[in-house]
Amino acid sequence: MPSQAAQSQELSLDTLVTGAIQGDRAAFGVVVGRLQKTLYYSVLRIVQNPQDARDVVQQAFLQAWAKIGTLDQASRFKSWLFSIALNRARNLVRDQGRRHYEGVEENTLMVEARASTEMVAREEKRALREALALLPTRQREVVVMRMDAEMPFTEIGEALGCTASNARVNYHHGVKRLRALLTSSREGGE
Amino acid sequence: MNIKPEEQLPIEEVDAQEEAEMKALFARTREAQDPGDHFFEAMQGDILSQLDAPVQMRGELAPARVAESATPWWRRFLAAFSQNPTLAYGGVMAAALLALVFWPLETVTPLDPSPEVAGTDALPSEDVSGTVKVLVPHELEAGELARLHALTREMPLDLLSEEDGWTGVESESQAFLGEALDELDDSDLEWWEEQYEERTL
Repeated sequence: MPSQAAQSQELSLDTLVTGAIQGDRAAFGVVVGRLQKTLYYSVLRIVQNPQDARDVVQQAFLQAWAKIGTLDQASRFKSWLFSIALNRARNLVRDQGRRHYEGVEENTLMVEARASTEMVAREEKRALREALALLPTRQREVVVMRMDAEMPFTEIGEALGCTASNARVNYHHGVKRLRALLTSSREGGE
Repeated sequence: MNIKPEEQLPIEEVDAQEEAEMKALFARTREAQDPGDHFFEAMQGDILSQLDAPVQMRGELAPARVAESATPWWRRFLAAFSQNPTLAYGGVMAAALLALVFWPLETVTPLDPSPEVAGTDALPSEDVSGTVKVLVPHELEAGELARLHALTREMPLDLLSEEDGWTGVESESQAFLGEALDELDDSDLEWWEEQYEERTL
């Protein structure tokens, strides 16, 4: 039977994580439901394959559950979870090395885009994916965590093991470079 | 602690409009690849059903993919080894160092006549044989390679180049190599020299 903590979707993430630290599986289930989407989209930007992103997210949550007793502060859970997931994503990308993802668009896990916006969305997605891939790893991860997960720089810094200032600087350079790459891509396509 | 160039730059704020445009782009591309609620519900269910299962280690297959793989364990082991240059290089280095320490006394060969090694300067270099071969990643810069040669001059190691079959390592492997070299300080070299002298005297 779900605990009181888990029954209430109104509770803060910190409260739910505190419950999970005390062994409340249902509370952890709510945490999963609350964070899995942002984590999935962030990881997907890195690994660029829906099935791999799903595997990474699942394993990150399972690893977090297995080690949640080592977490000293509930407020650090999100950055900790992201650090686990990004580490796994990085390893996966490195191990797969030269693997190409040209077939990603046709993956069965991808939902069909709405017909009227399909071409535009597909082109934007391709351009963004290629531009992100050209960013240095740290800049890419900071930009993704900021844009997709809307994390504050302090949390991003915790997740990446750097200072908030360093995260902010990487974000600034990452966005600038991303914008330049996207502009260049658009001009090249015209 | 190394300070990266970007950390030395003043912190500039990203232009608000530029950031808003970028956020909108990220949001649009998220929507374009939204797998739907059923996908996330299934993923959440999978996670919760596996909470008591051992955590999958890096390189292992997800449960859904395990059935796809009927490859013998030794093949998967070899594949994992070849896919992980860091592990491969670590293994080579470990094997080389073990061979160095446990090399049979009668087969210990004269070393390169380096002036730093007492008692070996009279030995002809053509006597060097039976050394342990260590593959050197060809991405190493000239300076790094020179340092590696300097550090291993006193050891019975034979550094092989790219032409000898090394297919390359990633930058992280190079970083690993750099750290390993940094740990080989002078006291280590002195210890190896002592070991060598005890065996050859």
